[in-house]
Amino acid sequence: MKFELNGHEVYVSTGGRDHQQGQPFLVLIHGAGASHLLWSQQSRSFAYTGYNVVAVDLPGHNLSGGEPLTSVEEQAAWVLSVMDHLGASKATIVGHSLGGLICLQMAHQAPDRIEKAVFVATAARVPVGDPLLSNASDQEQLAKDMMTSWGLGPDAHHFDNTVPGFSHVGVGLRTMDRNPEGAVAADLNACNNFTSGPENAANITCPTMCVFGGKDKMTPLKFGLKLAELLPNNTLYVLPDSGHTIPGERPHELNALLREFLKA
Amino acid sequence: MSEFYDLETLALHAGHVPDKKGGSRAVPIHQTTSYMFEDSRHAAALYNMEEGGHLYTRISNPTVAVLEQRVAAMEGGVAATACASGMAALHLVTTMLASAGDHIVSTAQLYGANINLLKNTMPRFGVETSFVHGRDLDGLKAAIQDNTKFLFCELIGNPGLDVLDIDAVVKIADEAGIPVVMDATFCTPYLFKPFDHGVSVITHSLTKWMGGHGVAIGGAVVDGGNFNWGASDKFPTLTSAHYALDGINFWEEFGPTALTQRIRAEGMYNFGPSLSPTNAFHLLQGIETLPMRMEKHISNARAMVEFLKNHEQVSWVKHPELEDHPDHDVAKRILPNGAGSMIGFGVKGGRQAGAAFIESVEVASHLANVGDAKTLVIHPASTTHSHISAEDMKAGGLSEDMIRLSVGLESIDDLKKDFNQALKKASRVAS
Repeated sequence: MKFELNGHEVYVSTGGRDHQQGQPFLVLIHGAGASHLLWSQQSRSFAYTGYNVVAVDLPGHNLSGGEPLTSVEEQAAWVLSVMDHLGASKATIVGHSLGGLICLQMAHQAPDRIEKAVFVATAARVPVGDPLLSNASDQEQLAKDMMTSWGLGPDAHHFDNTVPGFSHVGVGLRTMDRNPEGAVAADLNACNNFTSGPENAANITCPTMCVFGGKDKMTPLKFGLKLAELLPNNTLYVLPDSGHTIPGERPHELNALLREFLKA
Repeated sequence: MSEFYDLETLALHAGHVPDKKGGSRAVPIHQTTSYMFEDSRHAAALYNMEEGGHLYTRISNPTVAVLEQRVAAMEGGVAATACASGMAALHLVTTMLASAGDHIVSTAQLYGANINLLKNTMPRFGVETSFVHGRDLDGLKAAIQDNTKFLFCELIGNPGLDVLDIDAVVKIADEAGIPVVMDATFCTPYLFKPFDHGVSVITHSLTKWMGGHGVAIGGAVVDGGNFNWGASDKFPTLTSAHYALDGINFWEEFGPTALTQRIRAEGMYNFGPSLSPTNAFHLLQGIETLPMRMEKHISNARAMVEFLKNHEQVSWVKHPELEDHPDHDVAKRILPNGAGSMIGFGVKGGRQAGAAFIESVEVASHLANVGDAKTLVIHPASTTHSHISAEDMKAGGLSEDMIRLSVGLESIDDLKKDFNQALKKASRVAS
């Protein structure tokens, strides 16, 4: 679905199905350097099982125009304005990595708009170290290689895949290539500079779920567990063999957990 | 720093993680037509491309998927679709990207069946192809029309062994907003990585060097995921509503894997050029040793080039690594690991002497394949290219006296002895 917001074209995937009156909204927010393509194993699946899916391309990512936003606060406000445009007064929000930080900020900015929140492969603070941060500005391709390499678990590096014939490595790299130059650096800086996560997490009142990968090299499990401890009304799941890219690496497990959480 | 596995490791491991239930280290052969659905919702989800999985072996199969994932990994693509043969692969790409009224530009130095498909079969369905010599860069550029959907080529032409200046060809296609599709059978990812040079789609006959053992026919389409199908309205099969799946837009929904998803949803579904699971298993066994085999193919080929070049009964030798080859400089630049294990040569005494040579070899085998672990010889003018007109043969770099040699992995001394005795017998016919 394409529409204009603040003078720029916005793309959100509805999972191939038009939104239906009265159905609950499910907002899927991608991580740094990614796009709605991260959720290709979730968006159609939930769109055809009773949800109004909104898998966003953040500004300056993939099919959405404009410049990439440079702070989590701006990104959270933007997703809320997308919800306004689509008539979604409330939604369950699901964020992966940077998307998880955006969820923390959305829940802080507009707690009444959040039905439930799901944190996938993320933490309350996601500091980004050198050399990744400096490479993102100076040598973007190297930064993409590093993120793809660290972003995948051992099975994905062995090219195991639930989608026949697909390569997590290839899809990861080429998905990042779909974004205009500068998106990776903007996203990583937004991650690095966002410090309100722990406070926001502690004040979330809605039900939350965390799904983390036991072999996550980008946001190691120990940081995720700290977030899970902070969230007052949380259910925690750890997928022991998954790397960081849980939506692609472990779609069946993630979808089953999501479905159960949404129904509860 | 980033850490991806090297080609040698991928050739052995990519696509397969031993399952915890059976623990089989080798890739199991899933010799089944169909797969149990968990429930009716799961069945609907698979048909509707909501999630990955297998529903019917015409569309996908777990053993075939390992092969696909291995080839995708070795080529550095986003995905691969295995199919019944290399010809099925070209047919899939052609029919997914071009429709009646569309046009293709192709280099002329191609395998005979590739020429036949594009020149004689596709025009019956309204898709025309302009053939241009691969060295004629201006001609390639001029041949591109508004309705041209892709530029097709082989890096090492079969059987003329012309080597394409692929970087220049990709630049021409880029400027025209069309993808380059390459049949990479003759180079394999050991010699050349097409996606690193801007090629967007690879077709493979896995029957040849990739399999290497000559026991299974198979092919693959590898999707580079590096082409922006949405940059123009040239590719409606990928960027507008599909006839099924609720009018899915493959480009918007799947981005870099749009072509593969269309191949799976329409090509495999409607045409059914599926690879058998057992053939996929055989091809995987071959691929495991590709890097080591290619190393030996190349060293044996180099030794045979020297041997033939200095043999009194040989009138000419053609190989891209020879300085007198017209594409020697291009080959040196883009094929540093070797310019392939195919050699063309002429036997003094013309057609009859050539026939006598072929009938006299005892280690080499006279047959239609190439890229086998065993050394193979054939006379293209009377066999593989016999359906091609004299004019097209000339354009493809063929001559009547040419012997096509696919150098295998035998002892180089035994090969030289065999060729020596066969050339001696040929000389008696010639005299």
